[in-house]
Amino acid sequence: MLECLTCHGTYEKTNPDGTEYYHACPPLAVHEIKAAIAAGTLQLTPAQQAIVDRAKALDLTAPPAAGTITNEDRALGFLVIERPNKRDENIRPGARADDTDKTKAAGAGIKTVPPPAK
Amino acid sequence: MPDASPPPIEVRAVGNARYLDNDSVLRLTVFNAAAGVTVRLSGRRLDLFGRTIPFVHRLVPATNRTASTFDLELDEGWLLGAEATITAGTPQDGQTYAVLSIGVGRAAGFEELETFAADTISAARRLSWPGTLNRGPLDGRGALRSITGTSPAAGAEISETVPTGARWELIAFRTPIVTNATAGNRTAVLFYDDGVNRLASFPAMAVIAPSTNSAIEWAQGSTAIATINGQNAPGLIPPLFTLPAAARIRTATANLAAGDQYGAPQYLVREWIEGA
Repeated sequence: MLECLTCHGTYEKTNPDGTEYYHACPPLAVHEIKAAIAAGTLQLTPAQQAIVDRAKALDLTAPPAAGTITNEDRALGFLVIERPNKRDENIRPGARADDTDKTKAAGAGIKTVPPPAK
Repeated sequence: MPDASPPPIEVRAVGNARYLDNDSVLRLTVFNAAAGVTVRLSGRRLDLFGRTIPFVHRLVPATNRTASTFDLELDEGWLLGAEATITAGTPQDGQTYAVLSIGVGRAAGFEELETFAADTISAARRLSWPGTLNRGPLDGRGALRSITGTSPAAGAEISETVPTGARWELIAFRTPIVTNATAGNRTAVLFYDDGVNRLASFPAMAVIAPSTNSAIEWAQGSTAIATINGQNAPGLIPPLFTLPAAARIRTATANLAAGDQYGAPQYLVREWIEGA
């Protein structure tokens, strides 16, 4: 089993039917986006920020009921913020058969890890 | 010293036989996603002396849906028939697509002049000329594949990508999820994007409470039923919604906490080869 050193997801390189599996890191989850903004490692585009600001204003004027999702979280959930240095093992379109590295993005690399105990 | 070969005779090929000059190359191109496949190229040609000459060659194609080729240089004469068959491996219909063509030049310098047969092949389905029509790789019913995806890190969402050279229709998708004690029900949505922009969203039919070990399922034609013993929360996904290469199948989970853990998703897709 492999672990992606960018997103720390784990996966098998070969499917049970023998076909190859191509891992690609997921975009950031809402709480990861919030943490990155708070840490100053992510700055939303002006258009994205405007959407989030409107959602925050809605939450202030009409606070969501306890236990329900806030408009801010809903707005952040619609953003697609790719993970920094994401790994994407899919083949680059147009890659030649004799290219040594055909993947779209290596990211931080991978390491072999033991499979989880069953 | 006398030439041992018989003198050329006037040969008039009949039927669909294709004339070949000394520069002609018969090319087999294979796009394949299955493991352990060997494709045999075979056939017969007629030379200028009226002799029928069989040929048999083998190609082990790549498994990443890129084009693998085998070039066969032919002497002047006529091609009487050609066939591409699976001799090793058990690809489903739709996982291996073969093309027979004639051109000039070899390898990267090959210039295709004529494609005379193309179709998906399997152990039970041959590509043969004359006989087989030219069909595109998307013309068949596709191959059914059950795929185990990536188990994301704690607090991360699921994201599965349609591989380069493939086209998918999602039939069913199941993922375990373990939530921690952080307050707030988790509400999961399965959605498709084109690699950047959202295309469509399909909500799960039940929320996942904190401190729960559960699973969420989506399937074509599923019925919205109540959660049974906390194990299933089935959602509906539409049929005939095909996704191109680089499109993604993702979750977006309201109130997902940093300590929540999605397990590796298991999903069933119908896959066609587009070629990379």
